[in-house]
Amino acid sequence: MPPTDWVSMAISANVMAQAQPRQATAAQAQPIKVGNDNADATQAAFRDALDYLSSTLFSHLRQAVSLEDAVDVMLDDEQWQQLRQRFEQLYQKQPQSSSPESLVKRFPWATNAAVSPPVRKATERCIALLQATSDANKALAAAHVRLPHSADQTFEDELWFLADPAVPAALRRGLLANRRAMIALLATQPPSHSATAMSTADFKLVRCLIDACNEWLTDYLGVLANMPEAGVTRVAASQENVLETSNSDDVFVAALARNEVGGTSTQT
Amino acid sequence: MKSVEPPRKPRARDRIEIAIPGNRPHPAVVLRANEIKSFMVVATGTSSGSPDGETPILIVDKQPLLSQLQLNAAKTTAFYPAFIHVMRWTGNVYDIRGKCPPGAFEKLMRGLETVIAEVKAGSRQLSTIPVVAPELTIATVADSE
Repeated sequence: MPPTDWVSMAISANVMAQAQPRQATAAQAQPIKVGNDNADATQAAFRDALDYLSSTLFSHLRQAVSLEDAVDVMLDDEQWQQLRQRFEQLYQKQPQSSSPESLVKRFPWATNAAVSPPVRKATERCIALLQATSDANKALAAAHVRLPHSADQTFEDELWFLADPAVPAALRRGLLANRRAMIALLATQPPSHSATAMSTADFKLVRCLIDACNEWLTDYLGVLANMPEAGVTRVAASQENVLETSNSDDVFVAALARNEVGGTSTQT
Repeated sequence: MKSVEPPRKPRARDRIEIAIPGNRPHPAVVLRANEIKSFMVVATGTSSGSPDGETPILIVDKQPLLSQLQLNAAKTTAFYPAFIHVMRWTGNVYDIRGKCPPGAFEKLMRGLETVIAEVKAGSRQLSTIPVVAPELTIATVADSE
């Protein structure tokens, strides 16, 4: 089977993804050039908010909570809201600095508004999640799972599993397009402007991005869950599908039919 | 901060508030929502004593993550197996307050499993909430943020 467009695109994306962590590390090591006494406090507040966000998210993810659930808990978290508000209050005292290069100029096809640090950090988290899926595929490969696709470029491409016909075409396009956009966003992060305003509008973009990733990853993990060799259990199975196979629907329907005329409710 | 998203039909783990006939609105968590088979299973919270000495599935104390699950004037809100109700899915659009925290929802789902086992064993009957459109209208309460 000749390599398709998405395969070559995925390989190039992988190369960029492997090169990106070094760039991010260098960017973090470089001090922020802001000539204001408030800069350190602002940067510290930004880091506090970001670290708390990531620790909250991943503490739940490690407990097999779905990404959507983890984000919801984080949104309800008062400490996160306080940290975010503290950063916004501090940042408003700083002068606005113009970005030397626009995202649209370098990557006109990328999301034109998703340029804030929280969005970039969220993309890093999403890439980490994508990486987790590729780990599962490595486990599949280690288990010598044979999938109905060409094995020529199988182990060179992290996204080889997308050749599985069980993966819907929409999911395949979504994963690839999303990965491409995320890498572009990361590549455009200027090292000297890592702290910009964290507005509500930006945060909604984080949410949209995470929602999209969640949708695609959930679908894909659902595919992997049918392969025991992948070592992947469906995320939060106990929360979503615990009763799907227990014929409990019949119990509910029977209860409704029994009390069709007048329901009982003794709650106070 | 009020949500600008359009209202949607409730799904599992949504926090809603339902009007139980003869009572004030109660906080509830959607455990199952089967649109095809036209039913929805909700666990409603209460601040009163336990029904027939039942053990609560979940007690929500005053803590930030669960603040919107509380009753208005109660220190704690308890979820009992007897207050897991089945209601007819009518396609109503509810005011979704948010999502139940994962840990709390997992406990509620375990309680639902126990209830289903008891129903199948014949030792319990599932209660239902009669669907009357005006009574099931969800009170609109702005978010506290």
